[in-house]
Amino acid sequence: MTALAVSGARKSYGEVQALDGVDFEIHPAEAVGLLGPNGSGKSTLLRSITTLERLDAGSITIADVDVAAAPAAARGRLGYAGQEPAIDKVMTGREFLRFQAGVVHLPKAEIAGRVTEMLERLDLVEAADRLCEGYSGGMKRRLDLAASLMHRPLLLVLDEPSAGLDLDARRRLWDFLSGLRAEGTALLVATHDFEEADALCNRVVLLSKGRVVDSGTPDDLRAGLGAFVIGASLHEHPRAGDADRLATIFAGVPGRALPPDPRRAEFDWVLTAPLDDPSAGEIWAGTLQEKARKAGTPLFSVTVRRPGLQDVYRAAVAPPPPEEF
Amino acid sequence: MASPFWQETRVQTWRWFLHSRRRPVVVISGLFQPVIWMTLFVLVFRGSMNEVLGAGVDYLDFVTPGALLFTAFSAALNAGVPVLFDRELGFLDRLRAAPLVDRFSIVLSSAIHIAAMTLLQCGVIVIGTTVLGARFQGGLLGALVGLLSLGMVVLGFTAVSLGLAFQFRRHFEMIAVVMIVTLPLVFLSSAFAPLERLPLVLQNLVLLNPVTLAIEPLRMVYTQPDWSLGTPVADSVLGAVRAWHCLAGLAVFTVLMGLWSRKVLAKKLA
Repeated sequence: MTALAVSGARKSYGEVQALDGVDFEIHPAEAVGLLGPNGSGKSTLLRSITTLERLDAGSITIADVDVAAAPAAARGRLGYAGQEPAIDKVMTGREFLRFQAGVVHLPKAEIAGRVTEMLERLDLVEAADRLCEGYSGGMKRRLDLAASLMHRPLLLVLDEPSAGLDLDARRRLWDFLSGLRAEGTALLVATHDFEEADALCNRVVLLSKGRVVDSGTPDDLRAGLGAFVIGASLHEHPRAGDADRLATIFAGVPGRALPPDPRRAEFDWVLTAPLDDPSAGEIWAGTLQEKARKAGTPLFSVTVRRPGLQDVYRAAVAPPPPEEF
Repeated sequence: MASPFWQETRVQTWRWFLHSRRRPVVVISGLFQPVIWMTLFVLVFRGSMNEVLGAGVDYLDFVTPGALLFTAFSAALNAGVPVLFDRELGFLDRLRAAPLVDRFSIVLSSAIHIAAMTLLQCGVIVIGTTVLGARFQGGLLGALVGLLSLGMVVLGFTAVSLGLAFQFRRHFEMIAVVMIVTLPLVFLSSAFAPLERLPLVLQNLVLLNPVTLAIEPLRMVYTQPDWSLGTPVADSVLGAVRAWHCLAGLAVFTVLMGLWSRKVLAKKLA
């Protein structure tokens, strides 16, 4: 059984093709990160999975239940925590979970126990009888999550789960979600946070312009990109012509340039060979500094690092253009 | 064990009542508005209106049904605003993504809450006006006719309001429209002044207003001990308008609005 299967998903809004044939699967106890720039189709995909939108073509099944054919049954198998906590500030935390228990039809005899269990698991016991309007951002998000889990869904869909949380709260949230995954719940996590995707997900799907442009485990995606990324800059802040001059300096280095990011001074180059020598990056960095000095354009900085998910993302999904004034 | 539909309806209704209990200002303002209007109208117009109404009818008796209708109508017309807030804040999406057996429970819970709050507000007005000297003349059957009339107004305008809540994107757009339509609908009705005082053309127009269709039978049972559904309550270009004509017209309005909002909600909640 797959927890989630998306097949040939297409959706357009007038002229805009939001989803253009998306395919991927999530199995029980898997956590899949959905990465993509704004407008890549992430929100449309999440809304289609959670039955808030209907696809134009293709199919989505949750635990083998087709969301188009049996949306109510599909909803019984999924939990959804959106970008903003959807809680009722006029209720207390306990009342809100009781409300949610009724909405998902928990038997009356189970409600009090399940509410207490979720309050304990999400560390909300002390605040349970206070009005939610006085909760901190982290508490609101935990309550939202608790509500989404009241009916023990097989698939939990999360949109930017740690947005706005401090470092400690993020860590605790990730620990909780990892525990949930270990219990067999499948997670689909839409995020802009590469650290979150890395910490939480065993697989990542990269979405761009409504299509899956890459997918795999974070390690496989990083390894597939190259051995090292060398970042070099001519100035502290980007200046016109820097990218062209750096491209000339990098000529002959094995590998390829990452798509330029106009907001950053670094010109990033993925070094593809040699693959296994940890010193290879340093050697190439020295070579490049020498080459730049001889060309009369000394490097302001040069860094060598292992590729990260953000590099994979940048290679697959070019960064957005700078905002226009 | 309660059926899933009733369980989800009950818990959503409970939520609305909790809102009213924790934020009583909405209920209180909904009560005070017609009371203030009625008090002002009675103070300003009682003398002159008693002359117009003739012997045996006091303006307080005349205006009480208007105040009751105004209360029911205002509450119902605002029923969609909290739902629109839920839409804006993403709460409605939580409900739409939940395994509700029928999303009609979202609408039904709101309608039950509005009906109950309106009944409470009307009860307070009836008690208040009775203390001031107003007397309900229509007996038990008359009370049922009055409740039927109020109930249809609540259902019809709640349907309008919930339908509009899914048509607008922002609550301030809806509040603006509600404010714009409230006064004309009340003043182009017989809520506070007798129909006979209006120009003939306007009288016929006012008779098309569902608020008038509700007020006239309610006023009839409030002020006349020997009423019947065939009692003429107004004149029109087509002849005498009887109480049952008003109730039938109101029923048509309620059914039409119910069908319209059902269509809108089926589309928006699908």
